[in-house]
Amino acid sequence: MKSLLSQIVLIVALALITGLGMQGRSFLVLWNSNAVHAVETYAPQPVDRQFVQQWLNDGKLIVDARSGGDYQLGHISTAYSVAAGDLQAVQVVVECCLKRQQLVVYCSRFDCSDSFTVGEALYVAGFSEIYLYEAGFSNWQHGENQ
Amino acid sequence: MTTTRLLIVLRLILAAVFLYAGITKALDVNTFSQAIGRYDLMPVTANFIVAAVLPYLEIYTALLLLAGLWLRAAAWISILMCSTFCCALLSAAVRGLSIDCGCFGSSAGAWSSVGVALLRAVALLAFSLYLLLATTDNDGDKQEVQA
Repeated sequence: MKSLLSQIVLIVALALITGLGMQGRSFLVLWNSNAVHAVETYAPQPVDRQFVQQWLNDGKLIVDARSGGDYQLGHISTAYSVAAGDLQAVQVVVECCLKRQQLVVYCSRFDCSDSFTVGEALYVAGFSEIYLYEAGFSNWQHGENQ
Repeated sequence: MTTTRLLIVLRLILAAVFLYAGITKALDVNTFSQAIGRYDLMPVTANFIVAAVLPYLEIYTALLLLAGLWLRAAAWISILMCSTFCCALLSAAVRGLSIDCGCFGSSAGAWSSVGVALLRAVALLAFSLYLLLATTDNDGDKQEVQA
């Protein structure tokens, strides 16, 4: 029994070392951003279409949290694509725009949670002010059609 | 089919599935991390750690099953992984999530719907349980000697 347990522990430990070793750089970026503690203070501010329009006119940072496919089909101009869980995309936005500190993030509509999740990832990566366009891209398109 | 032959067949099936799943996911950890994120069960950091580690756990388990070494340990890990998959898939099914299961990276197509993945996970869980119950501590060593 003891031998069985030590074999299981050894296999899991080997997988941990290999997995985290292979993805070391991405993992360190995430870990150094103090993710675990910062999440507790994450409280994005909801904003409406008018706010986002002004934000866009001012040339400020906008992030599209939908999947890459949805982004290709249409997005708010100048928005960066950061799909939920895509750490490489988070890294790209951090490297280009962290000094701006503020951003608006959106996904499809009210019932999607990706904008909240991606906003959280960007918050723990160092962005201090996150605005959530909860009505999302469907509301944006609706406004443009009108 | 004798028990020994059945065990070998089950080992090969489990090993093939884990090896294929592990390699496809290890090659694109970011996509797998996104797939885990769509289950909406854990924070981003945890998704990434699981996405980085799980493929190698599958690969090592598959190699042990293929080699016939530490079979009971491999069967236990297989049971733990399949049980976790079943719970996650069941939770997605209950919440009505229409997502790609992420089981084989981004290459599985129709094989990666929640329903099909749940059936597959239950079957693999059953195979693993049978393997554990039918394998003794010395089986791996015996097969090595016979080979």
